[in-house]
Amino acid sequence: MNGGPAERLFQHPDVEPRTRILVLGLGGAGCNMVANIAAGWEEGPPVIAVNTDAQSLAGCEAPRVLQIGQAVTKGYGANGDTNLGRMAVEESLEAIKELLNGMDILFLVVGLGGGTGSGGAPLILQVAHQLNILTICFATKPFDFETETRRLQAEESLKTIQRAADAVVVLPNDKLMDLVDPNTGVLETFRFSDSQVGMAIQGIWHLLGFRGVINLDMADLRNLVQRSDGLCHFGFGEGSGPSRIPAAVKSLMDSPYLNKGRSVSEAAALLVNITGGPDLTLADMQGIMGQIKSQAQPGATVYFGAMIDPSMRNRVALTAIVTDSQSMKPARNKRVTSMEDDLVSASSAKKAKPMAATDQGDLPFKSEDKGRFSNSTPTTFRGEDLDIPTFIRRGVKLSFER
Amino acid sequence: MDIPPIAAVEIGTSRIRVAIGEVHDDDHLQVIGVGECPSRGIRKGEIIDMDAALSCLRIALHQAEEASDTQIKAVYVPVTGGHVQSMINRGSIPIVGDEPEIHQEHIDDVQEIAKAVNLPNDRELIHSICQYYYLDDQKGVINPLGMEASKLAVDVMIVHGHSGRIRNLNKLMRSLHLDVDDCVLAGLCSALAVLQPEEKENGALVIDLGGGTTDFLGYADSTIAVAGSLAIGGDHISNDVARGLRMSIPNAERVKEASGSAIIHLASRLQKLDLPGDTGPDGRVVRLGDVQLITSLRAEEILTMVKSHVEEGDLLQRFGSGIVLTGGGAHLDRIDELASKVFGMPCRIGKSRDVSGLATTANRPEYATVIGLLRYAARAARRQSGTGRWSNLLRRILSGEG
Repeated sequence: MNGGPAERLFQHPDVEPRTRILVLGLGGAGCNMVANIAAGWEEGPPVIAVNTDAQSLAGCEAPRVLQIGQAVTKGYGANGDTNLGRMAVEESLEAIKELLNGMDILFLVVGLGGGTGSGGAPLILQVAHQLNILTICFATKPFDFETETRRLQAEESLKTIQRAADAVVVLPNDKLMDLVDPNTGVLETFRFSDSQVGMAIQGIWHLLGFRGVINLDMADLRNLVQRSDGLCHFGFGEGSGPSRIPAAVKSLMDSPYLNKGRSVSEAAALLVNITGGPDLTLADMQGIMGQIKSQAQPGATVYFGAMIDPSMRNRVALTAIVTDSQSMKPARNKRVTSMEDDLVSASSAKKAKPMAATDQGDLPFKSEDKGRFSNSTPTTFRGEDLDIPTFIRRGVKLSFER
Repeated sequence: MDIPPIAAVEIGTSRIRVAIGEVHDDDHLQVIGVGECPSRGIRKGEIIDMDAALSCLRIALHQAEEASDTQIKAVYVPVTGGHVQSMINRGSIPIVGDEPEIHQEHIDDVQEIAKAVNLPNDRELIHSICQYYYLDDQKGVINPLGMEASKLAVDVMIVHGHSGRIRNLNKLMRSLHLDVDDCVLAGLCSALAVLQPEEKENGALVIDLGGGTTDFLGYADSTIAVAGSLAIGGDHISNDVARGLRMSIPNAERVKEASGSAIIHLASRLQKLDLPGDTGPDGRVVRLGDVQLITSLRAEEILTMVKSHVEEGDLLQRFGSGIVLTGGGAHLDRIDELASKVFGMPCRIGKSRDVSGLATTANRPEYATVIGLLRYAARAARRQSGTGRWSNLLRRILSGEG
C-alpha cells in the first residue's frame, strides 16, 4: 500500500478493539439517527436501533434492530407518552441488558419530545451505569415550531437524562435551521448532521479502540466527561481544497451547535477528532491542533484524535465534543436516588396525554390510490375508504419513500 | 336411504370452486370430485361480468364432473359480499293457563312471530336463525321445552341479502342449466366445515379470509351468536402491495404469497427480493420489510374490523375455543399469530373435519366453504327424503349438532 505518511500511522491490525462501544438509537428519532450514522461508516462500533414501533423498525436502515415493549404498546409507537416508553423499556429490560453486557461505553441516541426515546432513555442509562458503562447521550431537541407540550416534555426529559447520563450532548434542531440552505431539504440536513455525529462517535471508537499516533484511553475520556457538568456541545466543520485546514477550523467554530464558537472559548474540555484523506500530514494535524487550542481558554484540556478515510482526499472534517462549564451538574452520589424519585414523579405527575404526531392529517387521496378498486363500489367503515391501501391511510412511509 | 350426489359451487372472488360429494349411511361425507378455476368477472364477492364468470364456472364444473363421473343438475351456493346483513328480531308470546308449561306449539309459534320480518323490496331473506329464548326475565335459555313461564320470547337472527345480487347468482347457474337448491351464508358453511361440536359449545369465532370478502360467524353456547360479511379481503392485500411497490396485480399476488406476512420479520427486513418480470422503476430494490409492512398493516386492519363487528357486549369473552381461520388468506404467513394478538385468544387454522376422498384438497383452508356447504346440503337432502320438518332441520344444523 502506498499511502501517505499519516495513513501508515493509522493502520491498525485486525484485532479486537480494546474498548467496546455500543451505539444504541432509542425511539423513532433515535433509530433514524443511528441508521444515518451507520450508513456513513465503513467500519465502526456495533449499532442497534431499539423501538416499540414494529412498523417503523421494519423500514429502519440500521444494521440491527430490537423491538421492545410488545405487551405494552402492541407493536405501535409510544405515541408521545413517556410512561409507555418507560414501561416498554422495563418490559424488555433483559434483552437490553444483554446488549449492554461487556460494553465499556454506551452512546445512546434519542430524540427528545417523543414517548419511547424520552421515556425509556433514563432507565437504559441507569442500567448501563449499574454495569459500570460510561454513558454519553446524544439528544435532539424539538424545533421551536413544534407543539408546546412537546417542547416542555423535551425539557423535562432532558433533566432526567442529564442526571442519569455521564454526559449529554444536546442537539437543538432549531440550530440546524441555520445549516439549511434553500437547495437542501430538511431531511438531507438531518442526514448530514447525523453523519457528523457518526463521525465523532467513529472517531472516539477509533481513538479508544486501536493504537495510533494519538491515543486516548478510557481514563482520559472519563476525565473529560466528568469535568463537564453533564451537558456537552457538539460541533463539526469541513474544509476542502488547498486551504482546507483553516477553512475546516473556521467552519467548526461557526458550526450551529457551538454558539458561534462561544462554546469552544468557554469550554472546560474539548475532544476533537480529525478525519482526513490519505494526504493528511502530521503538519496538517499540528496546524489544526494549534488553531483550536488558541481558541480555547488557557486552562482547558484538549484531546485530539485522527482518522484516515480514503474518500476524504483533499478534504478534512473536524468534529468536536465540548464540555460546558456554565451550569451545575447535579451531585453524582445523589444521582441514582434522585433519578428514581424522578421516575416516580414522572409517572405520577403524568397529566394530560400529550399530543401525538397527529398533524399528518387529512391528505387528499386520489382515486388512483385505489388501483384495481378504482371503479368498484367503495367499501367504507367509520368514514374510511377501505379500498385505499392501509399503509397510505395510516401515513406509513415505505423505505424508499423516506 | 340413498341420497344422490350433491354439489356445491362457490363463486369466489379469486377462485370458482366446485365440490361434489356423496353421503354414506353412517352420515359420513365423501368428496368424489372437485374443480377449480381462477375467477374472472367477480369483484368483492359480487358478479361484475356475467360472461367472464360463466366461462370460468364452466371449466371448474367440467373438472368436477369428470373427476366424479357424475352429471350435476342442482347445486348449493354460498352467499357472501358486503350486501349480506343480519339483524336480531325478538318475538314473544304469553303462556296462559294454571300450569304454564311450554310445549312444542309454543316454541313453533314464538319462532314464527320472531321470524316474521318485513324486509324492504330489494332485500331477500337468506336465513332466520333462532338464538336464545327468554323465560319471563331469564335470559339465554337454549331449550325451553317443558319449562314454565308466563312469557316466552326468542331472538332470531335474520340474515338477508340484496335480491338483485342473489338473483344474478341464480341466473349464472341457470345459464348452465343448473337449479339452485339453496343459498347459504358463506360464513356458516365455513363454520360447518371446521368446527367441532365442543368448539360450538365452548364458543368459537370462524373467520373465512377470502379474496374479495371476509366472512365471519361466531358460536356461543352452541348457538350462532354473530355473523357477517365484509367486502375486504386478500385482493386488498395484493392491491396494496401493487400500489406500494408499483407492480402489476399478478406480480403483487406472487410477491404476497412468497414473501408477505401478517407480522413483520424484523431480522430479515433489509433482505432484497428477487421479483418477477415487471418490477416498476428501474433499479429500485424491493425490500422484504416493505412488503411485510404493507401486508401486515392490511391483515391487521381486516382482523381488527372483524373484531369491531363482534365485540358487542361480552361476546368476545364467550369464544372460549378462540379463533379458527379458513379461506385462502389463512395461508398468509403468521396470520394465526396476528389473529391471536388482535383478539387476545388462541387461534388455529381450520381444516375440514370428517371428510374423506381427495383428502389433501378438502383439507386446505380455502376449501372450507364448499366442504361445509356439502355438509349443509347432505343434511338438507336427507331431511327432505326422510320425515323431518324444514324448521327442525334448520334448528339442528344451525345449533350444536351440525
